[in-house]
Amino acid sequence: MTAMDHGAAHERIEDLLLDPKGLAALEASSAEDDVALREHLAGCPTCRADLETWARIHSALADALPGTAAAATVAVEPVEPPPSLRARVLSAVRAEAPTQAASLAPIPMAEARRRRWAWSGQPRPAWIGLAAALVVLVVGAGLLVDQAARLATARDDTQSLAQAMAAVDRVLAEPQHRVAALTTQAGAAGGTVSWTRHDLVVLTTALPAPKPGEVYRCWLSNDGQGWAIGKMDFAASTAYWVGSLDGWASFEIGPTTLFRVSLEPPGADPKSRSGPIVLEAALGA
Amino acid sequence: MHDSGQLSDSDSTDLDDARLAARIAAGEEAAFVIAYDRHAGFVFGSVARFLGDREAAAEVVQDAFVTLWRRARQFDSRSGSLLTWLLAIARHRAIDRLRADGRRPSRDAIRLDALTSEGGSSGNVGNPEVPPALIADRATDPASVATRRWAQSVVRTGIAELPENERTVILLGYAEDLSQAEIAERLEWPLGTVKSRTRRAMAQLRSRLGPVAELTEASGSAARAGTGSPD
Repeated sequence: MTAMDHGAAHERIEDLLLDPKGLAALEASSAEDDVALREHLAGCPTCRADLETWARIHSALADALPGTAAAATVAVEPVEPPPSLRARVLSAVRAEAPTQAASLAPIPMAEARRRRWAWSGQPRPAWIGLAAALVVLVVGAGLLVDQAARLATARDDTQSLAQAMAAVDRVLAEPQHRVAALTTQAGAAGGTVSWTRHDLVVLTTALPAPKPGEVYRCWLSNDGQGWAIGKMDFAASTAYWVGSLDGWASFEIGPTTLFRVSLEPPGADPKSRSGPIVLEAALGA
Repeated sequence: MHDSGQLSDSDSTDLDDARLAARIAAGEEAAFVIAYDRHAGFVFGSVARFLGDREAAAEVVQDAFVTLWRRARQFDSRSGSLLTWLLAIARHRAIDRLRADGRRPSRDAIRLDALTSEGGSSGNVGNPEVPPALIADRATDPASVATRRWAQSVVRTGIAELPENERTVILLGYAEDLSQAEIAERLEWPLGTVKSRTRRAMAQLRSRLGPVAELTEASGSAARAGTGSPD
């Protein structure tokens, strides 16, 4: 009997899947293909993982379907969302749109220039007008670019902070919210972590801006096991992180849960901490 | 929100989850609409089956998609699909809703589809689809019951999404334990047609259901026991 390769193993697994009892019968089967498949699986973690995935789906299908075709047919009839839901959802997200833009509208430059060039009624020589136009073109363009860039940065910072503060408001509005203090390694107060079952918001002014390439990375740990959950963003001198716990179906904040921030050097693996802890909060305290 | 207009047909079909989430994070309403149209039906079907309440399910789905709008930049395609992410959010919200209402996922919930198609019948006492072991679970371990109910709801929704011919072969194979040859005989289809439809159905189910974590929690041990460890 020749050894089975990946392709043949996957083909055999797919054949077994055609019969709901096929996977269950694999272990006891003395068929040549099944013996070869078992030998291949023993030395191939990739194919074992593939088989495990199929086995889970197979088991879930069997568990989800009632024992008669008639009952099962009813159980899997399509359940469509109400047609009005789409409009409701769109309306809800439109209500979430940021509202800071209007208050940060750029200075009306044309109006400002008109005021600066309001002469006292004396006639202007033509060359002065030409020179003035050139100066306005060269200097004004530079000022406009610089001012626009600064305004854009300020607008982005303000918008980001406003969104972080809105997240804090949402958390604090939940009756079950919790708040923990962040402390630096020297023991000084360094901001707060606020959270509910769904959201976690971190705000601090204790971190200096990172050097180019460095990042402040956020970690959650339970009983010594840690997960990288993202990096701190900066808006001016305030650093923040806004996250959702919803994507982690199995994560629960418990008595030993810690939130930590480390300063990672350029090029560090984002999934593994290599820099020092600079902030920490005990969420279970 | 930037209403950047309609995305072209090729944009809407070609956008993978990572790019779609990035465009939603940038405030593109058109990208958000694509995500809604792509996944709302599946999420709603799963939650409605789980809760047994269409209006409550609509609220949960709305909440999940608003969360997507707020948090799209946190989506990491390396950790799973956008559908899986939305389902995880919806599951949390649905369980919270049950807690707030002071109830557990009920037999009515999983039978929502049957109830609606039977005109609102509530007569599920002695329902043959509820195994005694599950009822025992209800008394002792609400969390595992909720996990199993959720997995069943998601799987049923996955089957409901299949084209009718593929759905039929899955139902006959898994609900009635018919072999491929028996299905072919019952439906008077060529055996090769039954096999190809089963393969397509299984591939789609794996694509949709494979990354759903609750399937692992609910059925992983049963699967291992059923197939034996290759080690």
